[in-house]
Amino acid sequence: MNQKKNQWYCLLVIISLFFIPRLGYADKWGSIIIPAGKPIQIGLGSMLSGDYASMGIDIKNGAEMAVLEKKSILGHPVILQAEDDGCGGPTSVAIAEKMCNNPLVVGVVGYMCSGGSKPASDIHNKYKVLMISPSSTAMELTSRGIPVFFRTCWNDATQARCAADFVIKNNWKKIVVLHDKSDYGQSLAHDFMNHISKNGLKILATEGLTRGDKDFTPILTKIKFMRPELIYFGGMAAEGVLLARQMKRTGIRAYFMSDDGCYTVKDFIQAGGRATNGCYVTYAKKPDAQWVKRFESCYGHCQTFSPQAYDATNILLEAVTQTAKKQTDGSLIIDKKVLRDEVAGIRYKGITGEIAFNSHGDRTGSVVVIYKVVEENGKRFFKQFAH
Amino acid sequence: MEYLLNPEILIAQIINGLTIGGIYALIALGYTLVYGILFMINFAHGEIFMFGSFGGFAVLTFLSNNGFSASHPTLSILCAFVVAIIIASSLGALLERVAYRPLRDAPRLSPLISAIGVSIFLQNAMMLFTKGRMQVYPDIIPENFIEIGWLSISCFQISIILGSLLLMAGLYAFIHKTKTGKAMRAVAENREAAFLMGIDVNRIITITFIIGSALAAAAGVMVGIYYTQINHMMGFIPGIKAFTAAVLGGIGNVPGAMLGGFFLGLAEALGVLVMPAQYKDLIAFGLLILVLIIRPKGILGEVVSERV
Amino acid sequence: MQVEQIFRLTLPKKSILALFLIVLPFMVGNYWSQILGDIGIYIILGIGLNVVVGFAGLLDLGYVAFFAIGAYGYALLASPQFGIHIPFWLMLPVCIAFGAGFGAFLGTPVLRMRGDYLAIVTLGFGQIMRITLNNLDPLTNGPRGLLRIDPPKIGDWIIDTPIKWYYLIIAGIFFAIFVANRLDDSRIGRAWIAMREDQDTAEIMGINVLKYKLLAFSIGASFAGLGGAIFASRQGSIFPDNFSLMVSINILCLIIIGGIGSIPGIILGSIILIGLPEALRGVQQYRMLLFGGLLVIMMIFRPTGFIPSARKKIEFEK
Repeated sequence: MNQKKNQWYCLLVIISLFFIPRLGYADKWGSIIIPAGKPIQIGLGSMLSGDYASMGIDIKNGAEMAVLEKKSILGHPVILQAEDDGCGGPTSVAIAEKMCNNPLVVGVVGYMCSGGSKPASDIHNKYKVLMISPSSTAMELTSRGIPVFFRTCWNDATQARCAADFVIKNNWKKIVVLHDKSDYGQSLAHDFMNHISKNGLKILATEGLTRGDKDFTPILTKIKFMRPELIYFGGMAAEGVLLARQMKRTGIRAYFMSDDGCYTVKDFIQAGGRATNGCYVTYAKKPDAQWVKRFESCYGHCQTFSPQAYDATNILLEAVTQTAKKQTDGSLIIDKKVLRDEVAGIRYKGITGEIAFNSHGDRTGSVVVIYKVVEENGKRFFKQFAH
Repeated sequence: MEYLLNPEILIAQIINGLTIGGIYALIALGYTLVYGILFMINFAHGEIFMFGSFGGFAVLTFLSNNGFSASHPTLSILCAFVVAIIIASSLGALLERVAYRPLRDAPRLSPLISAIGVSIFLQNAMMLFTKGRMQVYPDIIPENFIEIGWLSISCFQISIILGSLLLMAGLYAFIHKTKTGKAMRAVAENREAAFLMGIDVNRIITITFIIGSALAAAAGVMVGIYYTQINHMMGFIPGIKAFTAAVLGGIGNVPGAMLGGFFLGLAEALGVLVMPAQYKDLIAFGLLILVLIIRPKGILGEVVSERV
Repeated sequence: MQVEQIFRLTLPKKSILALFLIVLPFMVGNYWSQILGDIGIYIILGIGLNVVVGFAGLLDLGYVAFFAIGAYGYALLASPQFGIHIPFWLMLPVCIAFGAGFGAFLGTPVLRMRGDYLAIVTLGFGQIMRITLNNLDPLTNGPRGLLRIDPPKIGDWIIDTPIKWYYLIIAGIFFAIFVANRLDDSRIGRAWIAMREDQDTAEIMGINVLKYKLLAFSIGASFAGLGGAIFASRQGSIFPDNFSLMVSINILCLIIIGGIGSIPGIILGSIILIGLPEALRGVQQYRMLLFGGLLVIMMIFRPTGFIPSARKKIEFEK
């Protein structure tokens, strides 16, 4: 009996040894081959269900619009492969693996949240699959030398600097900084504070809020007695709009300024009512108005990042069009390194402006401007206030 | 630290604390009533609070859309409360019947796990229904302020504090002055003896759930009007904090839950003055652990039936 | 013993199973190997929580705190954060020890509490852990997370593909099962059974209930320490949001639905809870709704889970 046992185990070990050579990675850059008759897939990773689903679906719509307009490249149809990335964690990692192992995916528009893009970018770097994010703004994404990562949005430092410059210009001296203790909100708040301090202004206080909490009257009461001129908030509209309302409630007479997380008509302007009048928000320059009309006729109200997603998708499509070569058997071959270099050196006129990338993958000449919530002719909206 | 010496800040924070404390107290009462009778933490109570809030939202949005609320603001708000209470009470009674009653004789973990399941189910049901988006209570009545020097007190805050005190007083009177209330106390003290005395135990338990849910619904509508933003997760953390409040005051003890609620609210509001605001939630959790280690019976002592 | 009963594997069956496990990742490719790895980590966590809930009958809703300790413990000592790079293989027992130690630390004050209080307090611990990790920026980098965590290395050979990780995780699972079975069949395990059946009688028979409760808590936590180290090393970056209440609830769901106390049940539960949603991505949003409902239904109609352990069946049928 023992002999038989040993024989079986030996057999197993021998068979398993067969597989070890396969455990290494294939040649890193290599090429993508789209067989004849197969579609070219553009991957998309954003949050399609859950807390930020409306933003995620909006991003998907932006990408989808670009894909539907392009229809095909060199005889191969182009389709969007959208996946729910759960805004970070193991889901994003799993989706990244899925995209990178899909032989028909030429690149991914994603991921939505910085928390998802961070681990996903490591995976994309392993497989050398392009990744263009429309909305991940964390600085770490472009500071680690990952050649396949690009973004069509701004980064945290740019947005914070814009806000800080505006504050300095207005000579607001007593500033309180709040943030929602998220990767995004806290990073913005810190960058903002750094810029402000560099110019000699003092921050009265910095406090973190708890995401999901509704009652900010205790902390605002504490702040009220510091008599600030401005409250800067790094975070999303869910907390931002409550802050704007409760500021009025606690009787704080100060300006309120926030980031693109509050650049949303439904969740900030409408949800906040008159309390949001006069609030400042930073965001990119408004996308091309004609495009917005076209988008809204198909998908409803355009939110924060669909323009960036549209541009990101088109950059991918453009790069593929330029670098794909048709082979004699009808298939397409795309050299990954050439594709990447094409994107890196691209000069694209997008609906969000001229797009080019620096050596780190950040968008050059990224323009963030100040908006103010105004009420004109009975309508309340974001009006561009300053550059 | 110097904040604590400034009377204006102190008074303002105390009012803030009592406001949120009143909400915690109302929700805590639901926990404490159910625990006193069934020895079970109704994990889904926070979700009943959430459903009540959404019920009020539905009513007010409907009334605001057809202009009724513009002409009859107080009546509209009353409607909102009534409908919310009906929805929440029905939900509470349904849960008791479907998810808890079958497990009354099961091992202790079973109803607890079932309650967790109900909680998850309700949260996700609402999430699917609202597509995860925040909903906003329409502005029905304007918020007036009483200004005294630097102090600015919202009349909403006063309403919430007074309203919750009134409801709690009503509950206390009900429990101590009516026959049903007496029956509730009897069942809480000794279920078998009460049954032998001719009390319909199942009916009393259902009534307990209904009352607890009604109070939570009232809190939900108040929260909706005051904070305006509601979403499917709004019951989760307040639920845990309200349970903390119930334990603080002494589980099963009605005045204890009220006391615990206000105490917790004050602790949070005043705590923010002395520590960074991002640690606010730790106050509740820390208090919970402290109470359970140092004085598990709570401030006013437990009122639970004898463990046979 | 549960495993033997359900499987009753003869040698040929064992070999086929082993062969299947070895070949599986190549049959399914990188993406599904990644998912299998996720399932595997949850199996390890499930086995650990099972020690606490199933063996000792303590409902721990804050189990994720130990998972976090293991993950952050590894990440802080094997990443650019402090420039310390202790090898993975050395860190494994360290993280297991972290888990056990933290389990003892958290367990000591709470073990006298009633079952439902214990549940809420442990839930509180889980939340406290996440909030603390999110706020201790100088140490943990707060919400920005720890990046570039070291993968396991053997000389020049790095474990950095889903398939390689799959084998490592399978090894981890076998190790966990081995330990769990040894526990179940030991003096400690028998003391746990006695404690679970009737605490007072057990005390009278000379079992120091508190000591065994603490052991359960601590040993259960050590599994999470192991899982945490694997998780951190595999994902390469960790954030406080990775350690939310949802994780504790997921692990609880999977052992309840699969079958408390039974290892095959845990495996099945993990496949259902983690693997199925990936396969059915279209209905992802209904997932938690379904699991909430399933919990209620299972508690009422089949409290022992889909694949019950024989002993549990007897307990429930009493």
